[in-house]
Amino acid sequence: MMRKAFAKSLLEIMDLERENKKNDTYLITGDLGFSVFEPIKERHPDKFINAGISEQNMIGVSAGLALAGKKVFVYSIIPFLLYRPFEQVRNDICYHNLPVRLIGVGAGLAYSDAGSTHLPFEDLKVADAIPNLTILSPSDPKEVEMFMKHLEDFKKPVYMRLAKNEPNIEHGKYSSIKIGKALRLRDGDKILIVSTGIMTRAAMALADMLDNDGGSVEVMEIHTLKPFDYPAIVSAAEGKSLVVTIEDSTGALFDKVASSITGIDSKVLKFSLPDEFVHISGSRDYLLDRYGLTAEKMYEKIKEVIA
Amino acid sequence: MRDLKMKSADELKALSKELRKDLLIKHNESKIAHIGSDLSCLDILIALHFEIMGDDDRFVLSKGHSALALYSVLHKKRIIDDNTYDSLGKDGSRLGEHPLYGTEGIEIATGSLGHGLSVAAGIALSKERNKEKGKVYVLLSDGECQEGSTLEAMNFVGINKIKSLIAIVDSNKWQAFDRTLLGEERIKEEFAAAGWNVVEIDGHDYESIIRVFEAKNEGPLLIVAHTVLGKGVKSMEDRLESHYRPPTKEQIEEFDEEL
Ligand SMILES: [Mg+2]
Repeated sequence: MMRKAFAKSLLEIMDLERENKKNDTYLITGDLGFSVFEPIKERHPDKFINAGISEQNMIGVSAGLALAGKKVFVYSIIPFLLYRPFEQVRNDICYHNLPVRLIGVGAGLAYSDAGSTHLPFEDLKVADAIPNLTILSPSDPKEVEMFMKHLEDFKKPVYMRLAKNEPNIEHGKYSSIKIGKALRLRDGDKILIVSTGIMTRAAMALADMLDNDGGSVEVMEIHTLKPFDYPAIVSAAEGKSLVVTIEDSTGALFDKVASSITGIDSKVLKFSLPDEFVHISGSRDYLLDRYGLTAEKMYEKIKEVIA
Repeated sequence: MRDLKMKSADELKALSKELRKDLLIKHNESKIAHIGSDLSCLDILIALHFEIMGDDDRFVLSKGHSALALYSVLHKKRIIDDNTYDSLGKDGSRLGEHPLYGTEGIEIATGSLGHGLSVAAGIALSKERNKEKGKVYVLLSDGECQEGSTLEAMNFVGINKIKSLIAIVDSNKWQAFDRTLLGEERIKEEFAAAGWNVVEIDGHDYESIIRVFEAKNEGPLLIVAHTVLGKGVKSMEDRLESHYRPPTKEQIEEFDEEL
């Protein structure tokens, strides 16, 4: 439950600030948070703002709060957080390099049955286009909690994409998480899998399947798409015959990985969402399968490539 | 209520003449556009920065195309230094046709319309929730009241009753390619309906400007300032060309003669 992990961590930050008689951290939401933000609203009404259904103003107000010294968390569904108020995100927050944390829910296909208007399949490319913006793409609730600790004193704009109701992966490397650093989740010397967001779960399952065939798979998680940890990916890709990228977005991760290893003699295989609108409704698992993004489908594809 | 200092009003008028001339020359030399909008809001900027605002107050220029008018005021106040000011219009200058990030005295870089009211609302809200002193002043163009984001901010301020926010509309009756499409009456109605106090002033009369800032108000305040595009040079006044064309040498002479 990434949303709940976010809300719980934020509540802890606000509680602690109150004990220390500080008043810095604000939550401003675009009329969302039913069954998630009630404790914040009740315990910290002075630091909670419902901006209502007016996202451009929400982002502008958050910039104003940050200019006045506040640490601001803004929460909405990704298209309404990033696309509707794009220019406010670009000019007011990123141009001024303000410590505003844009927390978007519904990453990738999380709202698969809500239709293309709610599906931010291109969010990573859109966010990547804006200078100064740090992009976080955690894979599970525990990673969200870790990031919330790191964000407490982070001085720059951040976009963090949450999915929806995912359980923890329990990869055991949570304490090694650092913003801007790739996270090695398992070692191997033949194939490198680079994953981001909730696709890390499929990446780990895929690695197990390939290992059973004697594949020896290394898995690197990119939880920070920007700044991108080029050196770590370059050194991980050294000597691998195949590099695989897995993302629930339209190729932002692949572009970065492919461009960082142009000097290395290995095949690169891209698993991503297609560059197209989604015209069908259904569960996320159904759509992921349709786009070939389940561990099983990816395994078959890799077998074809390395055969 | 503070006494109106007549001497002070005279000084402000003298300052207004000085900075008008300064702006005509700057625009003539740099060939930067928007002299008309500079001259329509200059008196409001002077009153705010030399008479009204104190250390606890903050100012947001939402109509970023009047950057040069603000630079002239900030330069006169020694916030922008001579070297920086002299660089205006030259390659490598830190002063843009619209404000750039990092310029002394510029709260937020604007230029795209419809951003300033939200940002000012955020600053004011922070002040109020922290129980800090001071007000936040924001200068809007009449044209930018067409922006949906301005209307979003208008409603946000009304809903949250942000009383420390004072918005001034430079009502010069022009936008980039037309008379204002959303007229002054409609702007006043919209803001009043959203819970603002709406008052009107002559935006070129210092006594009128200062009096309205001194008055007590119950809630967010919108000051509709009646102004004239290109104010001060007859051949530029109330003409769309002065939104684009920099003043000629002849127009600078015309200004001198009219004094
Ligand atoms: Mg106008």
